[in-house]
Amino acid sequence: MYRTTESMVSEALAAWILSSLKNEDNFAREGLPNIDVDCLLSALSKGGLPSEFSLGLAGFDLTKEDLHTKAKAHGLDGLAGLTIDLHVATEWRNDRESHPRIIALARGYNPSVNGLSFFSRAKSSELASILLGWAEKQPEFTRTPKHQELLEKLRKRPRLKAIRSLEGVAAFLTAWGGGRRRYNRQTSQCPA
Amino acid sequence: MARALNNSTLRVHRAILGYRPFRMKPVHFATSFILALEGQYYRLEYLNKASVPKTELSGSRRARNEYSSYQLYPLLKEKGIINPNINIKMFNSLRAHLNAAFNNDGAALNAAFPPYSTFGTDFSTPSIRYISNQSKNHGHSGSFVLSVLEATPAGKETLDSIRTVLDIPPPPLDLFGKPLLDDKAEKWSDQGCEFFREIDQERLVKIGEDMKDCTVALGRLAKNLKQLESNYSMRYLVIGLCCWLFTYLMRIGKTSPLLVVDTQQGNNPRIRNQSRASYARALDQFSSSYKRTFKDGKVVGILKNDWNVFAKSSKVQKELDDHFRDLGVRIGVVQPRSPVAKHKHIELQADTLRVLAYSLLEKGQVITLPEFAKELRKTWSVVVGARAEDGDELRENRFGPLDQDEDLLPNKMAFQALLIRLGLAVEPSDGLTLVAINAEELI
Repeated sequence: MYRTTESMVSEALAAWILSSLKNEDNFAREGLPNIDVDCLLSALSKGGLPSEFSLGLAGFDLTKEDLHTKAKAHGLDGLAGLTIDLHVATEWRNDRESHPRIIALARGYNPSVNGLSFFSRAKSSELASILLGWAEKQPEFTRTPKHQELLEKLRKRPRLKAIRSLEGVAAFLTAWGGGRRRYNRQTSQCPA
Repeated sequence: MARALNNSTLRVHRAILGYRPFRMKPVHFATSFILALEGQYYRLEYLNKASVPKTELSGSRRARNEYSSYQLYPLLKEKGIINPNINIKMFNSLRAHLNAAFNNDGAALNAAFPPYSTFGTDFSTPSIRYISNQSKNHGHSGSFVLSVLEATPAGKETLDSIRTVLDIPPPPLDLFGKPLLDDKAEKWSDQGCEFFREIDQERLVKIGEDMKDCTVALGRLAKNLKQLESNYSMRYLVIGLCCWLFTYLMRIGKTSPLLVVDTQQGNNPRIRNQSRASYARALDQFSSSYKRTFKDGKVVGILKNDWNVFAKSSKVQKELDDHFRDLGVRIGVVQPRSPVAKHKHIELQADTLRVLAYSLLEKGQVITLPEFAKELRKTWSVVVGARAEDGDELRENRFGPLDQDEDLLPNKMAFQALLIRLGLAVEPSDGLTLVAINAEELI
């Protein structure tokens, strides 16, 4: 089974959100590279994302209908809200009764949206470490103890900080898994 | 054999590039451009002799060595060029100052008159009165740019604006050397040089069309310089013209070149690496462009024999690399300047950024930082990370991995800080940066 760079970024985001569910109510991240939306929704669903969450995904080449269809396909149609507009996600903050917990993720830079600045955020380097941590738990990357050791060193060594970029780690793991960097290829598959 | 290589090389350079690519500084280019534009030069014998101090020679050459203060001092005194109150000690001190003032950055000014001879000499150019015919290091690059500009209506308009900059009252440096200048100009023509050949009109028009955006930007720069009437107008104009030439070199290599600017001075290793990669790619594309152009048959008039001689020579390949690198470094686009530094990257120096800003902004025009970054990318091929689509474009061009929040955003912030320091931008509210020529006064 092949993975894409986009699916790796999605795994990193899902792992970050799911690992902080107990401590945080709101999550925001702008300036993301492209993600595999199906993969993200699948991972969030499997991780038990509570239905009280509202989810905003902006800039990922989705229509509102696409997002609803995909959320339904992954069992997330019960979420409190779904949007592809970051400004709508910002407005949710003023309606806490309907949207008690919010996830807002956006591709690229959105200069006019400052309302999400108080949400929990993860830097790309943190997401890169989370992704390496996620890989340490996947059988496809840990067939030998040396593989496990390599991933752990990549994640922990302070001197390797410069190479721990989200895009770099995602591309590295994709190549390791024999996958493709490009999105929308025939080989792009998210684990069911 | 050497002669055959020279002639063949020359013919190939002429056919593909349009001029001979020497290791050239902006001052060399400026001399060639102004010579061709004005069609005249000044001998500048006394300026040369006074500003290049030499010790006394021995033997028969001693008698005619006017570069020695012992011979030059009485001569200038007799001609009334220096005041009789100035003694020889003061004169020696004056010569050191003249040398510092007119010897560009230390390697362009040589003794040009007997008993000495030189490959070439160029004076720092505060005004057109300082243009001599002793420059040989330009390979007629200035004539080439002038010919391209003359070939299109947009270029002609730009040349009109450039002429107005040359008419700006010269800076104090011009007055400093004035007593040593010649009153009478001599006629100049590139035709007299064995290395120069005219390029056919059709090709000039084609290059002019391909470079139209940069030509228009150059015209805008000249108009702004005329209005600002800065002491540095001539310097800024020359940097602008050289940026045009550097972009031309890049476009020979690739239709849409891309340079990643490191604005964080090496503090971000990922940006620094990609900036180095973008420079290395541009250099490689330029170096290999000759081979591609010949293979594609895009340029007519290259004899196969000439090409065979050219292609077998490692010397000419080095010439191309040196020309691209030196021009990039000297115009403040490529860093570090040190010739021993193996890894070069893209870093716009303050004056260069000012020139590029003047070339993109009309007087009184105010634009946002992303809009300015878009124009920079479109016209001058540089990417700083200030546009929303920069991340995608870099990825598509195989530059990366670079994260938006930890790589591109800090790069943009450092670029923005530099613009503000130069008085070219203000930040009236959080997240909004406005760029203008006189930003602080205007906004």
